[in-house]
Amino acid sequence: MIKKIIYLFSSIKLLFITLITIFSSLLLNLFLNFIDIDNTKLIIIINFLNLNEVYNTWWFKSFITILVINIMSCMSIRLINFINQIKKQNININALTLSPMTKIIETKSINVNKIINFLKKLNYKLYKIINNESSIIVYSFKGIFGKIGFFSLHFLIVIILLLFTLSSIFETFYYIDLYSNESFKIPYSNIIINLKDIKTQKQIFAELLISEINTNYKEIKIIKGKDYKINDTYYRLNFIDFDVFLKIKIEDDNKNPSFYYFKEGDYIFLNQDSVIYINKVNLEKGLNNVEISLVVKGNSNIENIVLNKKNNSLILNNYVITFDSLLSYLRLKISLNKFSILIFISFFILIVSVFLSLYISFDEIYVIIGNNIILIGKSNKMNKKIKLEIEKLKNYIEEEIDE
Amino acid sequence: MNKELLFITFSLICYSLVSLNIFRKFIFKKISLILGILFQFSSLTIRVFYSKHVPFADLYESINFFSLCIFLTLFLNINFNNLSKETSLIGLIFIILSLIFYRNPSQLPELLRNNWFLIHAPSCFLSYGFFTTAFVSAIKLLFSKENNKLEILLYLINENIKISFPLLTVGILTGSLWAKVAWGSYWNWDPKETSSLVLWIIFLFYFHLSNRKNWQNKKIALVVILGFILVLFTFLGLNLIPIKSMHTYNPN
Repeated sequence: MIKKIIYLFSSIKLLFITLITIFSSLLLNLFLNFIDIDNTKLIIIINFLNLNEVYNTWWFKSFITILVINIMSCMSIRLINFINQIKKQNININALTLSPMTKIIETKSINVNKIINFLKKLNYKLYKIINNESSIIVYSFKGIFGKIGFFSLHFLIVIILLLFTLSSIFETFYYIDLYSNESFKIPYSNIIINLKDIKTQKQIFAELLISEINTNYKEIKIIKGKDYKINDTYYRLNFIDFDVFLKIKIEDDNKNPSFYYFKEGDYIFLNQDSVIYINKVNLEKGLNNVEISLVVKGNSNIENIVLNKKNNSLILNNYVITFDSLLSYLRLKISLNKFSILIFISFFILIVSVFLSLYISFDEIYVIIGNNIILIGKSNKMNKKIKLEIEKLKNYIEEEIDE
Repeated sequence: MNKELLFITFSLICYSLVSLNIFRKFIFKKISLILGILFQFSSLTIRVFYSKHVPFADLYESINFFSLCIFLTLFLNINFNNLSKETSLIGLIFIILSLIFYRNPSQLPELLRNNWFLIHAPSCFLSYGFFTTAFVSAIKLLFSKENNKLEILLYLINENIKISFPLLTVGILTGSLWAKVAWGSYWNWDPKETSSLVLWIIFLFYFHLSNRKNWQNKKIALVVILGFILVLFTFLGLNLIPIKSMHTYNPN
């Protein structure tokens, strides 16, 4: 029973099934992003299986788990075989006969030199001769670099998947909205962040004051699109977004001032006849030189007016509208992730092992003739190519025997 | 006339000579290809000189850079003569397509001012370039009837994919490290991220299936063709079809 389960989980067929499922569900998810579905029955099915966000569903996650178990069991079986081979310090023919490359030809006598000459034509070099049984066996055997490369590649895919899962479970992050001169204390820590200013000149950046209780404070400049480490801890700051509010003073007929906050795209309703639309807030010249373009409807005429530092008030039907100041606001992501260094290291090793398994790896090809085992050479050719050459070799040897 | 477009025109002429198979001799074909690459490279260098940023920031630049990658991979290919006609035709189509989206160089968006971008984009484009040559070999393999050629074409597919796969892996990994810095998370399930992951799974398929005993050569070719359709979708589909993605070349 246990053997059957091990066999099931270490089979390549299971790998194909899981890969096809993951592949097709992701493709379906992509396809559903493009089209608008009107059919209500289809919408019910899509919502039930959560096909719009496949990656968050339990069944997708379970297929990923099966994939991880599959890779792990395949690896462990191969690792056990490899350790057994090293222990015996000899090439184990019984284990190698399982290889699909293996060809066995029964023979009594053959001219070894002729075979060697033929091998030279196939660009293989003769490496060593070891005594063994009295038949001809041709087989390939993966070299040590290939084994290490392939093993580390598969192992690291599992490790990275596990690290991603662990980091998503244990990573804590907060999105906070900080207004000008406001401060925020990170929970369960002694770090306080204070937003000093946001600037939008060549680059959008925010100036922050970060202080730890009972220690000195530090002034940092964070640029949008880059993340920052706080005081050598695992906390990281990320500038997500920023916005500005316009503080506008409105004076009515009796000269009573009142202050309101507006954003780009807002309407200011003064009375039935007078409406102001905030069309665009231009920040290109910096926050101190803001230009606000307005569409003003008074009585029946519509006008386009620009408010700036010099011309900052507007009179409309006895109302005086003055641009007072700007309130900037910053959306910040604060995350705590202890796995990020591990993920970086495993990414690096993964790239190295991809190169190791694809370029430095090789197959060793052996021929057993009579009492000799001949390592005919090492090859980095694809398995199909090696298979074809082994086929040629086999045919040649058979012809030699017939003669 | 704009110097940049002038050089592109010269490169178009050189590539057309390769594509139309005018030269019988191998050496002339190769010289024509090298000249084309040099002209296209000079055109992109002029653009870099004016824009002061790397030449794959907007749609014109990236399609142009992709076509340069296709010609570079063709130049680097072992069996150049076998693939030159069809591969350069695909490259030509992409250059002409890039000219449709031509616009004057603009400032590099804030998000792209990152060192990861310098590794992420070229490795992805080079990977797509090598995949294109693999695709041409796959198409040839699908319609080829000579047994001797099958072996060579199969070898070409494998050699190109063996270079394309690590480059795509580097592209995805550097992309995810950049996403962590820029968007705060390694993986955001953006349509481009999802489709490049699907492409990566196709590579896995290829590597595991090509070593199977009963797997026929023509089926391998079909897997590669499917992969190339996905390359086109990943690279261009997301920009040509309106979809919410953080990877589009929208200047706004």
